[in-house]
Amino acid sequence: MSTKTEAVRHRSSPVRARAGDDLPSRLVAGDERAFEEIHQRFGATVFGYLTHTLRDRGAAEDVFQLVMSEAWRRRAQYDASRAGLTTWLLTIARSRAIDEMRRRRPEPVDPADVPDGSQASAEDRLLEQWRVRQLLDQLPEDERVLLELRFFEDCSQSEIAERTGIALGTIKARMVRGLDRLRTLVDAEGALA
Amino acid sequence: MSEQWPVSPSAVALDLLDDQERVIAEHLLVDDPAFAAAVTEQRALSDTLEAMPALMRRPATPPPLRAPEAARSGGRRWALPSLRLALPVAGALAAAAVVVVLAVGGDDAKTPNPVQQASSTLVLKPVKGGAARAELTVTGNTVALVGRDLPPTPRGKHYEAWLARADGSMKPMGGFRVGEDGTVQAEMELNEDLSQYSYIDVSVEPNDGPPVRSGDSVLRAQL
Repeated sequence: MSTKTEAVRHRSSPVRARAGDDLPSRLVAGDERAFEEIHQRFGATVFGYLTHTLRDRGAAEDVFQLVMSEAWRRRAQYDASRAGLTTWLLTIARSRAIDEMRRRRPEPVDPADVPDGSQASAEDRLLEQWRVRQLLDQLPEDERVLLELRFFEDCSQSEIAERTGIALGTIKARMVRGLDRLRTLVDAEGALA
Repeated sequence: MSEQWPVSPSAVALDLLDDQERVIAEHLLVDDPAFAAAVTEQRALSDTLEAMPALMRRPATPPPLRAPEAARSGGRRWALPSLRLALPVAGALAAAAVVVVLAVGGDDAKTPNPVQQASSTLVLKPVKGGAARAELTVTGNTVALVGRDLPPTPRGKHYEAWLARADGSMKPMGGFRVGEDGTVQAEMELNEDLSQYSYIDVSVEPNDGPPVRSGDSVLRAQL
């Protein structure tokens, strides 16, 4: 099968975030084990986003607890048809991070320091990047690793082939399939609130 | 999805086309708005991946949940022992092209080990072009640097690694020398919170100069 045929066929296939994923419904039902799983699967992304945004690990740890606590408290309001768990958790994290930054700001506030539209847009971009980062982890390992080598380690196709021992054609097919799958995951997550 | 193109939009976005595919793609980009839109969409995704700073590329280790938060919020207490045992899985899930090792104390599974060491690798790239490259691995308070294709250390000088803030202020991490073969393996101590810094810089400094950076940058990595 040619690489391009594989790619098109894959793009046309439905992709699920994770096979047999009943995590959202278990969360809404108040299943504590589901919440532990959320901490395992999404904790690194939420905490990474908070550390990145707040630039203070201690504050990020405190806000992380608030975010997880709020997620548990508001679990009944979570609607999986409106947003994926990544988006929902990051949206809560963004709100709590903004609270924290407002709390830090000394009074009175210089008007020049009040966040304007461009800063809000930069924050949205950051949130989107963290969202994609989390979704990248949901790709099958053989696709994820190749995309990480390409984008995170700046490796060319030939360098990837040398490092992994995988044929160039296979690398191409897997990377294309990975990016297709990532697009499907991003679309399935829904828009940021 | 109804699109059935002979060339994948993702392959275009990833720049993985052969000559024949490139010609087809160029025609499709002009003649087929749906194809052009799909390429734009996939390029945006590719750009998002490309632009991810190093901080995002390596996984963060989330703190364990505090049960009292749940109690205060009216929720039931979470099953903390199993949660703590599961922490290493959280790190593994977020693993990028880096290796994560979570050291969890095995003598008492009910007590969280405050020392969770994650090792992660940053790639430093040349500031002024060239093939020089170095990988910097942070494990706890230790930084290991492995470099290649670097100019050998000039006489009377040394290489210095710096932690740099967005405002340009820098804090020295440690010095090292590069051999005639252009390679280096060095280890330095890190007593700083990396999240407070924006990038890591490597410069060449005079041996007897003041402990400030001269500005002659060789390698850099964004945090």
